[in-house]
Amino acid sequence: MRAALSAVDRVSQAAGIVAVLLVVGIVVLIIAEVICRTVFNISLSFAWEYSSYFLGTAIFLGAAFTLRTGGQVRVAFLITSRNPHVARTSEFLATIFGVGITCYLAYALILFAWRTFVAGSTSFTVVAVPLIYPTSGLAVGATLLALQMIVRLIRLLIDDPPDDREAMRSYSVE
Amino acid sequence: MTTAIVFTVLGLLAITLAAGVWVAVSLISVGLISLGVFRSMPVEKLLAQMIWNVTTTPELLALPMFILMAEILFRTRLSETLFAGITPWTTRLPGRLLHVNVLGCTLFAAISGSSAATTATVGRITLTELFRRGYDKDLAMGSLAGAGTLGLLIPPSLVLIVYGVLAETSILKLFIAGVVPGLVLALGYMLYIAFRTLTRPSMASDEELHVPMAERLAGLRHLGPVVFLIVLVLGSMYGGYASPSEAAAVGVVGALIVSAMQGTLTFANLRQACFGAVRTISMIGLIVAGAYFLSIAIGYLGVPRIIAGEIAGLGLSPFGLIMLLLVFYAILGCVLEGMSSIVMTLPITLALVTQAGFDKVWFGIFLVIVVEMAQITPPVGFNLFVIQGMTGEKIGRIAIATLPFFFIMAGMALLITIFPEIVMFLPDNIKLKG
Repeated sequence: MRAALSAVDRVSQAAGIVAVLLVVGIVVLIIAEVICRTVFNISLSFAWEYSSYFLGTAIFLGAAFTLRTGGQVRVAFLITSRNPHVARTSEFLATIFGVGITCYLAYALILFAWRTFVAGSTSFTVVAVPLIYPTSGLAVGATLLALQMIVRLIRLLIDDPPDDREAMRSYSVE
Repeated sequence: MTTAIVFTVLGLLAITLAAGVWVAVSLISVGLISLGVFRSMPVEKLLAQMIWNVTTTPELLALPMFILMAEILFRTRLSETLFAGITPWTTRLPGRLLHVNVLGCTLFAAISGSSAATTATVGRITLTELFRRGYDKDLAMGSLAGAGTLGLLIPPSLVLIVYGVLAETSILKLFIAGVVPGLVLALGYMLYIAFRTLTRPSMASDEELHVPMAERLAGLRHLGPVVFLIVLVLGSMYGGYASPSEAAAVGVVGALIVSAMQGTLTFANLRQACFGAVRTISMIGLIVAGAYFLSIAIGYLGVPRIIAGEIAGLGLSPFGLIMLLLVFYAILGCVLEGMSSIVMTLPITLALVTQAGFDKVWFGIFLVIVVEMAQITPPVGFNLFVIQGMTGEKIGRIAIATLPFFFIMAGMALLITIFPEIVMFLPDNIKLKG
């Protein structure tokens, strides 16, 4: 059981690494665009389009890892209550609610990606990117987020710590 | 029926947030549930389309890169060099080294878009030094918490990027509008420090520091890296050479150069900076996605119109409306973090203030000052948490120490309401690219 849970953590971490690479990719693309425009006077219009898809994908691929390491913002009023009963119950209810909403979000984004695939949609630009690539990136990220939320619920049920405290400490600024 | 809709939306929002549901999840859920209850429409399609639209909008691209830049700079020796460069110039001011907090934050704010990062980077050195030299603890912590919020007002600013995207306003104009209010606010903090230490000289350390002019000028070289980055980022934007996103990309490269020159560009540092950045990007990105969906959803349900109608019924003057919002955001800021409170209220408040004849750019700056106040009000105040992490003091004590700076900010919000030109003069008179 615990092995399966930490397997999900590892997949979230791997998706986080992909998100890091995408963010680095954005910087590289925009720098390339700046250089081409100022030095060679050529416009790299696709740089903007690709970067935007990278950003959307990075936001979602990083989401599960961020949840696991306690980086998704929430009001901590009840969940840090001195009364352990209140804290436990609200954490539990918030997580059940989270499972419901993130599963629906994953479902919506999977259908969205599926529709762009069936219709063979491409972007309305010269590069005409098949939209299935970025939309499936969002869908995969949202699915992982839902999965991580389910893992969180299971951890609460078996009394395991839901957040990765050690990782939280190493990212304590911001 | 209409009141039922408004109460459902506001009630759901309050309950889910208070229960500790993640802000992004809560925003999405309120949109979904109220659309599901009051309108039969394919909600899932709308949700996906809106999230897709806002997370892949090119205007948002400045956000990840400014976040990455701040993460890289946090792991350099920039705070040490800032301290070394500024300290010699403060020895004759009443309050002496306390001003390093304000001046350091002002300079660092010009290369950082977040107030937590500004507070943490500047405070890492100044607090230890000020405590060690016997300055008043409360004034040292309070001025740091207050001045740290300049990170949001003085461009670049993450909040202004998000506001620009959601309010469909030029981010560059917002960046230009934030400068003068930011500097005025910094001056206000310095005047307060001077006033306190003149009336109670024991608050400042009595150590004698005589720094000859030659040494002061020589010390300026320590500010080299910061000035280099400011010229790179703000210079390229204001000079009309770069859009905010381009300036951010150049800023990341600049931060890497500074880090390399200071010998802090290790693989471990870079790895931590990247993962730290992804966490912040993902967190803010999801909140923006949820807020955008919610704003469209409640737009369909007519909620902003209903609330605007109610408030119009109060017959407030434009000034009265702004004062109402000031109090409203100050209260909201006690329980919600700044960015969240802006994005979830924007669909309603933006409609209100534009109707009352205020400019969108002006309102962006007003909101930033107001959420800066939120950053330093307990129980939820990120700058207070950062200072607690550095000093181990109780949140209550830090909050009381920060209270005077809270009032200075409130005064600033009043000032720009009475004299909107403080905000609008620059953006109205500068020709910009993009």
